[in-house]
This record gives sequence, C-alpha cells and structure tokens, in this order.
Amino acid sequence: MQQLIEKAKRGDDAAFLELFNEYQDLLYRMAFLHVKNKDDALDVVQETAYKSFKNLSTLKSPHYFKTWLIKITMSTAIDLLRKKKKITVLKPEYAESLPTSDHDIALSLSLKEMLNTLTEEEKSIVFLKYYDDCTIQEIADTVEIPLGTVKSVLYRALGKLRKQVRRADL
Amino acid sequence: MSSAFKQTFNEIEIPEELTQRVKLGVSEAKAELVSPVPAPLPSKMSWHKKAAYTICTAAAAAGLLIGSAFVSPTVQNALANFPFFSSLFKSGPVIGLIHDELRYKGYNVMSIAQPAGSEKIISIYIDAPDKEIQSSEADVKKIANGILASQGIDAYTVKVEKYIEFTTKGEYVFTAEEKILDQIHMNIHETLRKQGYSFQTVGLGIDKSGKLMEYTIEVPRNEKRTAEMLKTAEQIVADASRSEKVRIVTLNIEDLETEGRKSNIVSALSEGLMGKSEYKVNSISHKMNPFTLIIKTSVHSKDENAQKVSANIQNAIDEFLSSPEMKDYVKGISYEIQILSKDKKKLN
Repeated sequence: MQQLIEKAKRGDDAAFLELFNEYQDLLYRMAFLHVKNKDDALDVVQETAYKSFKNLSTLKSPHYFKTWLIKITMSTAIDLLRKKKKITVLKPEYAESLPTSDHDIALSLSLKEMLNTLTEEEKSIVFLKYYDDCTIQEIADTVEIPLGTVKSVLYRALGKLRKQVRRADL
Repeated sequence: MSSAFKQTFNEIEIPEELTQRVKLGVSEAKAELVSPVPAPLPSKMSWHKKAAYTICTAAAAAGLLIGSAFVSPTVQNALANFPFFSSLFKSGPVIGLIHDELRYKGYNVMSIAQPAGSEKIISIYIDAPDKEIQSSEADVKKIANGILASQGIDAYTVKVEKYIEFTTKGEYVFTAEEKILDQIHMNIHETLRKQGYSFQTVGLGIDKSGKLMEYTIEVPRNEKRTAEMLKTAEQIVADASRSEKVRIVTLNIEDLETEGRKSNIVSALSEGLMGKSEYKVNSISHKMNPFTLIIKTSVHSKDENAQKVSANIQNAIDEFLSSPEMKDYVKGISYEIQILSKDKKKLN
C-alpha cells in the first residue's frame, strides 16, 4: 500500500485508482446515507476521487488513507447538502407543492427510515461502527469529536432506531 | 444488531457507473495537476462539470432529471451559450468557485451559505480560532469579492463567520401525543406492508405550526387498490380515536420529470436574477401547478422605476426561456410570472 501511495503521490493515477477502488463502495454508501439519492452520491464520490488525488501530497501517513478518504467524503456530502439547501429560495407557503419523497425506488423502507431518522452526525457514526466495524476511538478520530461524545451520539442514535429495528424484524 | 445494520447498509446498491465516475474524478484532477490552472480562478467546478457521460447514462437509465436544486449540466450548457447568463454559468455557480479558491488558498472553509430571504449575503464559514478568522477576514473577503466581480455579480455582501458545529444534546423525548401519532404511523405502515400493498412511503403532513394534519401514503401508479388502502389506514386512525385525515398520493414518474426540470429552471433564474443588482430581485419562489414564478423585488410600487424594473425582469426571463438553447428544457412547460413590489403589489 505504501508503495502504491508513493507512486500515486508522484502522479501515477493507475496506482491511485487501485487504492481508491478498494474503498469506493464504502465511500459511495457513506455518501448515499447523507445525500439520499444515487446521482448526488455519485457526484460526491467523483468529487472525493478528484479532491483526494489532487491533494494526496497532504496525506500524512499511508496508515490514515482510508480515514482520510472517509473524511473527505463526509465533508463533501455535507457541503453538497448545504449548497443544495440554499440555492433555490422556497417560501414555506409553497413548499407543500414539492414532492414529499426523494423518489429513490431502490431504497428499502427500513433503510429509508434510518436515513430519515438520524442526523448527519449520527448516520456517519452508526455507519462507521456497524458497517465498517470501526472502534469508538477510530470513529472519534475520523469524525473528529471526543470519545465520550461518540458514545453518547451512538447511544442516542440506537435509541432512535430501536423502533425501526423492531419494525424491520431484525 | 451489527450484522442487521450491515445488511441494511448493504441495501444501498452500488451503481454500475461508480468506477467510471471515480476514474472521471481522478482524470480531472490529473489534468489539472499536469497543467495548473492560472490564478486567480481555478477552472475546476467539479460539482457541475459532470461529464456528458453522466447525463447520458442518467437519462438513459431512468429517463429522469429529478428535482435537484442544482442547475443540471444540460441547463448549464444551454445557459453558457446564452449571453444573459453566460458569465454566471460558464464556470458553474459562483459559490463553488469561491469555495474551491479559498480551500486552494489554504482556508479551512466548512461551508458557504447564501441564506434565503431578502438580505443578499454570502456567509463564509471557516473552521479556525477566532483570532485567525479576524486576521484573515479581509483577505477572504477580497478573494470572494474578486470572484463575484469576475462573474458579474454585484448584489451580494460577503460575511466571514466562524464555523460552529451543530450538535444536539441529550436524547429527544416524545410527548404523549407524539407517541400516539407515531404508533398510528407505524401501524399504518406495518398493516399495509403485511397486507401486501405496494407503496413508497407513509408520511406525515404537518401544518405551519407543526400540528399533524394528515397521513399521506405515496403509491406508485400501478397499484390499483388505493381505495382499500385508504379504508385500512382510515380504520387504524379511527380505532385510535383520532381524526387525522389519510390521503393517497399517486406517484407519477412523468410529473416528477417535469417538476425536476421546473426546479432547475427556478434555480437558474434565481442565481441569474438575484446576482445582478439591476434586476432588484430579492427572492424567487415558485408554485408547481400552474407553474408560476413568483419574483419579489426591492422596489416600491410607487417608485417611478417600478414598471421599468418589472419589464426588465419579464424580458430577461422570457428571452432566456424562449431561447433556442432552452427549447428542449422548457418543452411542454408553460409558466406564469408574478413580479411583486416591496409592498406586495403585482407589478406586471
């Protein structure tokens, strides 16, 4: 891995793609959790690939490569959400004419409920813990919040999801 | 629980084009690394420079360009050829440019917001200690204003603010009322699912004060048993001695496609009209049916220039939407325009 990163830092895109491909599914799912639709999630991953290759020289240690990619994905997704929120000016009195769902039929309901129940921070933490099997310390490092906060956010998120989990017969 | 969650996350399907999109991102970066972009404007606007590839696959796969608040690449391309908006769109929305440039200059920009409302402000949120923000404020403003000016935007004031992460404290506790409503919501959902109806979501319709008005069930057009579904759901509400209504909403893919195009048109117009002070536009909102653009201006109805401002706006919109570049995009969409003065009088 170190060798590949060194190569990539020298501008070898094939080496970089080999590294990136290993994590792209994880990053896509992470992005999807936030933006909740395929097109935006693809945008986020494309942007992450762009930013990470361009700024690879700032990666301190190959050891942090994955964490670094996850961080870029999270901030890119959240940036996109923020940008989207403000571009169209919609007054509340007209809001009811907007479609109420995000129309992604590929989404199963339990996932959908998870997406709609949790805050952005909670989604990231639950995802890292249960999908990527990160330790609490690793999550704290990735999300850049204190260890104790990770625990309480996780606890809160699980509390919120309890109903959904039961509903999905898990 | 861990494996159950994992299973849920795995339900997020990986699209076929993912690898292609990653390659695209990397090759864009590589192209720029090889030939650095001349200062001061980075030509990179990756959000919006989705390659033609994307448009083709997205359109072919779903036939849709669904309601993004972003201006789609198709609109952008059309806009880029159109003199009125060309300066704005040839390089993509300006906020993205400011963001990329500040990041490139080493500022830890967390977000750039353009708050909805009549004040035309662009707030740049930077994650840094107070002192650092104070000392860099002038430089950040200079960069942002330079980019705005280069895009012909003169109506905005730039503010630099400290980024504060939004966190919530403690666990949310449902009120007794909320628990009942939530239970009904859950029951409707579960019952319909068990009885094998096909539906997209069960939603809650809330009025302006936050009071629950109705339950909405989104049903695809091919589900014909809506009367039965309605009856089942209404029975659940009645059994709980509640009086909220139940409404079935049929999802129509064609409508969604048109609504997506309408939203994109509104986004394009918002940026174009609000960014130039000559139009005196404070906000643009819209109603879907009939598609009406509601444009609030900062001129008073008694102002001698009011009619002129209104006519200017009307012309700009008509000219833009009837341009050959927009023909395919506006196809099948008719629109009305309401231009309102500061004192809420209709000007056109």
